[in-house]
Order: sequence, then C-alpha cells, then structure tokens
Amino acid sequence: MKHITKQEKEAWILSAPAILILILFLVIPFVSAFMFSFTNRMLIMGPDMDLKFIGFSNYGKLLTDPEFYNALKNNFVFAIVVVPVQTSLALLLAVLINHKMKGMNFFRTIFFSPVVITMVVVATIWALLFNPTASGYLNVMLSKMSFGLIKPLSWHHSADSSMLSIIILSIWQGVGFQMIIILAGLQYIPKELYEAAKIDGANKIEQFFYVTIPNLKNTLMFVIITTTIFAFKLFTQVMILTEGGPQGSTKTLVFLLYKEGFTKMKVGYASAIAVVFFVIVLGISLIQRKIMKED
Amino acid sequence: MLKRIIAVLISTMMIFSLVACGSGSNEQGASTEVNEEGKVVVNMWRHEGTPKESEYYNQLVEDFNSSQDSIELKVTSLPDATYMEQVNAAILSNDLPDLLDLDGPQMAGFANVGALTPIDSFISDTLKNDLLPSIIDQGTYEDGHIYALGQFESGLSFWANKSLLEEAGVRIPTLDSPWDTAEFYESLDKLKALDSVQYPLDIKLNYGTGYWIYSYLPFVASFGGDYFDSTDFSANGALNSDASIKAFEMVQEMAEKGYINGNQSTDDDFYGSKISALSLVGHWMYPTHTSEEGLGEDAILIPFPDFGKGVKTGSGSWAWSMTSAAKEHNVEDEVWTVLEYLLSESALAGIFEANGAIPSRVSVLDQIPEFQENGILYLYREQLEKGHAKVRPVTPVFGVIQSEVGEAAMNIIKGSDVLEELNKAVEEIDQTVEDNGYHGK
Repeated sequence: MKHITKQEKEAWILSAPAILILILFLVIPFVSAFMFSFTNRMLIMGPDMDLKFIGFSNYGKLLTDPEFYNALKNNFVFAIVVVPVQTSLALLLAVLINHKMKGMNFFRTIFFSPVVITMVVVATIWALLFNPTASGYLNVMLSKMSFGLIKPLSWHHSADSSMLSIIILSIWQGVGFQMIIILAGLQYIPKELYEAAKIDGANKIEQFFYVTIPNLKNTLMFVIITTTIFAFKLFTQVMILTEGGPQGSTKTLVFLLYKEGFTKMKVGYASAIAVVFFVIVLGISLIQRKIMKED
Repeated sequence: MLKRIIAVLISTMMIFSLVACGSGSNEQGASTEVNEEGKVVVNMWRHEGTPKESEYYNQLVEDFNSSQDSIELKVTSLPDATYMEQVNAAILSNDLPDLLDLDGPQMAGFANVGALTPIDSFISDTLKNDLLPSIIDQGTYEDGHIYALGQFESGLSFWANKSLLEEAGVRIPTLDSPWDTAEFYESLDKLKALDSVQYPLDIKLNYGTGYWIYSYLPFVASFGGDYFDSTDFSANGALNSDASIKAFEMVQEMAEKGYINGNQSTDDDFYGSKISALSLVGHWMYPTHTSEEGLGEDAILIPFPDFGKGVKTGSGSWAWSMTSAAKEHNVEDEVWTVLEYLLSESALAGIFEANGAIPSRVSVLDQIPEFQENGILYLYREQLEKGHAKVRPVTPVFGVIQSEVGEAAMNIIKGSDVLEELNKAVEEIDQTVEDNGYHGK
C-alpha cells in the first residue's frame, strides 16, 4: 500500500476549503438535480403531496415537448452564429492591438470594458438602444448612415429579428474577453518564426495563416469551447430583453428551465432539463475537442 | 513549519465561517427578535410599486415607529418583477418576514402551503363592518379563514383624454350608458383619424406578460368568457371557450388595424407623448395622469365597453398577510398592531394620495371628494358597489394562469393563431393543476 507523503497530506489539508466549497455548491446540487429529475418534486410541496419516484417520466415528457426542441433550436442558432463570429472578431482585434505602439493599451481597455459591465446592465441599456420606433437610437443611426435607405427595424420586438438582436448585444459584451485570451496566446509566439517566414518570402497575410493560426491552436480551441458553453447557457439577455418572446423565438434551454422550475415550480421536470442540458453541452465539448485535436 | 501552521489555521477559519454562515439562517426560527433598545422587531416585506407608493410607505413606517415605544418596524421593499420568486425562495429557506403584501389572488397558494397565519381572531367588529365586502372576500381562503386584508381595492377602467375625445366627436360613455362593440370600434376609428393620435388605445404592453391576467379579464368576461373555472379546477372550457376566443381575436384585430401598438415599449403614450387617447390602466396612474405635466383636468375615467354581457371591471389588489414566521417569532400581536395601523383611517387617507386606489374602508371613502358623485374617481366606486367587478381566479395555480395567459396574449398580438395559443395555455394550466393535486379540499 502506498504511503501518503507528507507533501500529499499537506496538499489535501490546504485544498480542503476549496474542495468543500466545490462539494457544497457544485457536486451536491448536481447530484440533487440528477436525483430530483426522477421524482415529482415541486418547489414547495403541497400539504397533501408526497415525494414520489416516477422513473423516466420527466424525461419522456421533456423529449416529446415541442418547447424543448424550440429552445434547443434557438440555442443552436445562437451558438452557430456567435461562436465563429465572436471568435473571429476577437482574433482580429487581438492581432490589431498586438503592436508595441503608443495607443495600444488605450484600445485594449476600450475593447475589454464591455466585459466588466454586468450582463443585466448591458441588456437593459441595449433594450433602450433597440427601441423599434423611428426615433430609437440604432434606427436613427442606421438611417443616417444609409441616407434614409434603411427603414426602422423592430429589433427584439419581432420574431424574425429578436435572436439577431440578442446575438448582437452578446457579441458586443463578450468579444473583449476572448480578445484578451487570444492576445495572451499571440504574445507567446516567438518572433523568430515571423522573421523566418519573412525571409522565406511570406507576406503579412501568409504569415497570419501559416505562423499565427497554427501556433494559436490551443488558445483557439479553448476560446471556441468556452464560447460554445456560454452560448448554451444563454439566459440573462433573454430574461431582460424578450422574456423568451416574441412567440418563443428567443426561448433558450436555461430560460425554459427557469420558467418550469421557478415560475411553474416544477423542480423535478426542471431537473430533468438540467441533466439533459448537461449531457448536450458535455457532448458538444467532447466532439469539438476531438475535431480540433485531429487536425 | 510556521508557514504550515498559518496555512492550516486559515483553512480551518474558512471552514468554520462557511459552516457559521450556513446555520445562521436557521437560528431565526426560535426566538423573538429584539433590538438594542428592547423593542420587538417586526420584519415587513413589500413590493416596490411606484415611486409615490414607496414614498408613502416609507413615511408610514417612520410615523409608526415614532408613534410608539415597543415595536420597531423594519421594512424591505423588493422589485416587482421578481417579488413572487423571492417570496417563494423565502418559504423554502424558512426565511419569511413576519408581515408581507401579496397580490390578492396569490394568497390562496400561500395559505395552501401553510405559509400564512389566519387573522380572523384579531379583526374587530367595527373594522369588519367598515371594510368593503370585496376586501373580505378577497382575503378569505377555502377554509373560511381570513388570511389577508387589503388597504385598497383596485380601480380599472379606461382613462380618456377628454379634449381628444371631444375633438374626434366621440360620445363620452357612462356606466348606465356604455359603448357597445360597434360604438367602441367607431370611436377607435374616429380617434385614429386625428392627426395627433397614432394609436388610439394605450394597452400598456410595456408592463409585460404579467398584466394580462388583470387588465384583459374584464374584456373576456364582458364577452361571456373566463380564464379559469374555480369550481372545476380547470381552464378548459373557460380560457378556450368561444367567448374567450372572440375576446382575444378582438385584441389581435386591434393590433393589426393599428388601434394599439403591437411593439409598445413606452409607458407615456397617453400622458406624455399623448399619441394615445385612451389608456387601459388602473388607479395607480391617477397621480401621474392628473398632474400638470400629464393631462391635468383632461384626464377622465370612462367605463369599458359592454361587449354583450355587461360592463365588467377588474377587482382585487395587493393585501397584507401575517406569515407563519410571525407565529414562530411569537410576534402575532405586534404584527396585528402594525396591520391595524396600516388599516387605520389616517393611513388609508394617505394611500389615496399615493396611488389613487380605492381605500378599503367605507368611512374613509366617504370623506374623499374624488369618490363622491361627480368626483373624478366616482366610476371606480360605482363599479364596485354595483357589482361589475370580475374577480381573478382564486386558486393556488394563479401564478401559472398569469404566466400562461400573458404569454398567449403577447403571442396573439404578434399574430399567432388565437385558438392554438389559448389551447396551449389551457394545457399548461391544467397540467399544473394535475401535477400539484390542486383539486380543492
């Protein structure tokens, strides 16, 4: 039997508080959700109700509920647009400010500042910017820039453009974060590689594709996977801006979970949603990882 | 060595603080809270409401605290949008205040799970006889006990811009001679023809989904429909009845024809930009509408149209309840003292100034000129006294009915199929009744 060294013992003791917190706030709720998903648990159990084990019936109900598939679709649409667009934008911005010029710190701060504003505030302010009348800020701006060609849009008031509105404000808020991470990755690339490429006759664009991108692979993989996970967790913007509407066009999985669990008080059913959500996100992350490793 | 000791000490302290935080909230259950001066503390929660209401209540609490020596009243005001979620969370974590206000119909759900303490034994005969009957009805649960008393009843009707109506040549209706469906549409047409009017009716879509349970029920009832049958415990046959369908088809038509703004995000279409001549909103806008920056004397009340089954109006509003926490903290008497103060004639005289609501005591009503015949708010009183009020469903699933009806209504306004939306809502509501076993006692 292996003896635990003194160092290992110390390590366990020192990490005990963190492990305790993880257990309390991550493991226990996770296991509870898993367990409750097989029961008829309501948020506040009525006086005549008993907690019953009901097997897979919550899951059955979920997988035959059109609301679930609608939410899934919305999440996919959001992720498919946001992940490439936000990552590319972040990459572009990172490359732009990766110069040792005077004003760079200033721009870096500006691009990063939306990230530090809490999403609730961001969503509230964008709700005002997205005002659908002819005098709404964005509409006026678009109209002036196009000399009156672009007519006022309904933004988040119409089922066709509501998801687009949420996508816009989410990218605005999140791009700075990815940019900083990619910037760190960029600064790790040795200068010699660029010099060697220049000697070989590569221009700036070829340098970008043949030196920068391959060396950023791990960073980009991290950024893409985390952005995907965040995309599936979409909730705050929906809650504040559209309440899932119009006509369910912005209902996401987490929003559905909230409505079922807290407004309709069906904790058992909401737990089933949570478990399915976890499986989906885990699955996607694993697939993404596999794909990127194989390249 | 020293570093190790320090590290272990810090870890232990962190673990202890975590455990201490965790058990702190459970200690509240045992004893009466007393502050440093020896006064008994009563914790009260209220929903934020309008700025004027907040002003009123803050003043009330101050006055109460300075008027006596044995009780300290501590009030916490919470945002409207998430108020119910917070109260639900408080029930789960055993963290309820001693006294709180609830929207009338919410009382049923909370009484059902034992979160409230009945107050019948505290109510004096004088008080009981002076309160409006609808207040007593609203606060009485299936078991016959009174769990909530409101300081005010609600007034709901059309606010109208008198000059715009006169300019358009629209007849001003009265409760005895209301508009019928045809005249309602005619009036909307005439109003829309005016240059300054963009959307004749301001239906307050900016209030979100939660408003429809209250604002549109009178219309549905006037067509002969309902949201929920409280004796059957089902929405099927009520929310999706032909009459209800007709009522919702009407609101969809109003959006299509531009009588209402289907994308409304503004609050002041009626009293600020004045692009609307009618507003579907209640008593709480009285101070704003009649202010100088609003419409001043041009703001008048007119009854809803009679769509076939008579003029209907909304009823019920926020009411105060003593919670089970008050029992645990042994402060029932103190909480009643506060409640009595909230229902006192002096307090009720002030509520009117704050939100234009109908004070719940007849003795107070009689002293306010606005509520006498020819007073600007007489219609509110008249409607209630003559029995035009349609009470919202009193059932523990009220929250779900509110959320489903609201969502269906918003979708209908955007053009979704009326029958489909209403059936979807009915299914959700009935499923919740089923899941929770709310088939009544």
